[in-house]
Amino acid sequence: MITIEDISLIDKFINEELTPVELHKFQERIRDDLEFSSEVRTQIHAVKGVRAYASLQFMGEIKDKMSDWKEGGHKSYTPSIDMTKIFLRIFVPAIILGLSYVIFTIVQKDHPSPVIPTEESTIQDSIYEAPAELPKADTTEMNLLRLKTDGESADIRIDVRDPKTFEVAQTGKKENVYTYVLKYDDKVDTIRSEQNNLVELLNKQVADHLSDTTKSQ
Amino acid sequence: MAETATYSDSELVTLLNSGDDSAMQTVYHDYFGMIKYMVTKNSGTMEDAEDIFQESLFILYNLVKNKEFELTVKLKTIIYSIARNLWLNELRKRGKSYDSMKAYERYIKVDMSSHGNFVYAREEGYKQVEKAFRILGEKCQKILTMFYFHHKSMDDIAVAMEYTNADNAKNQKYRCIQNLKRMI
Repeated sequence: MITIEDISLIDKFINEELTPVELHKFQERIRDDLEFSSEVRTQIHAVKGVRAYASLQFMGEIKDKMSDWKEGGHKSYTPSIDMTKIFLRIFVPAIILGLSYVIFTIVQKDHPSPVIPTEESTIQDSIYEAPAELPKADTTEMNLLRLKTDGESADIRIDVRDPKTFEVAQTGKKENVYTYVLKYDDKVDTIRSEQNNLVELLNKQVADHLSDTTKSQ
Repeated sequence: MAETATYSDSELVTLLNSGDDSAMQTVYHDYFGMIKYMVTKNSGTMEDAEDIFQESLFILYNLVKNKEFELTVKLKTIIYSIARNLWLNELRKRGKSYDSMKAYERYIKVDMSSHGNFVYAREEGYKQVEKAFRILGEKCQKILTMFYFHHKSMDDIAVAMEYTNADNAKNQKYRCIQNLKRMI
């Protein structure tokens, strides 16, 4: 005979509310009591059915309510910003780029790139770097021959104390830049220029000077 | 626009548990936009979004009804996770690609077992119970629904059904379930 307590016990079993001891006793009873076993099976079936029926009813209720709620509107939505993703996608590449730049700059310092002329003017050879003020001869300015490589705007001026010692030779050419070696007084200079006529130009200046000096004497 | 009540997550859970309509409406107001965005951005329509939200509310309701339920994450995360699972299943059924489905929000693993009620409703055995349940009478339907689906206590059922005490409600519920079992 199934009692009201048996029904409550089966409900507890369905809801998984039995303690391990109660569950063990329950399983033993299912094994030994055929009537109880059949009652359990039927009740599980009935409860499943009730829940399924109620679920469908409840879903219908939610649907009806949602139609009413629609009129009240809902919050608009924009996806939240994931700061971790932003950090990974923007800051990490930026950090890598920054580090690469720093490393590149250090390497560049150790291995300076060759000086490439950017203007159409005469450039002092980087090996023989010209001082800000060209060395002056021991004599007065009056006795100096000032050789200019390119008119009034020339950035290279050679002060020659004894024009007779002046010699110039073109020693090389690379990408339209000519290298000249100058020898005068007790100095040897190397200059680079895009002008290919410096030998003539400078020799002419020296010759003119010597000629003027002879005439004045 | 109608006013929507503002509740904290724990208040919402308590109210949902008691079957309060305003709690459900608040959940709709606050989170339907998020679910609509997730569904419509992933091959779904507005109608799909409504269906998914409806089912999500159902599962959420059953989830908070569970005695073991604890609010350890935001309610928003729970409802998003439920909807995401449901929509992934739907996309699978439709044979659509869901690999690219992005998570717009954090998601967690959620107990979706209450969804099984709908699966059972499609089984052959259910029709027999449904037929029996329909002819059981409104009173028994209410008592059994309150007890087995809404997990109401006998005290609550006694109050709702205007019985003098919980024992009377328990006796009535015993008669109802036994009648149903006899019919199936």
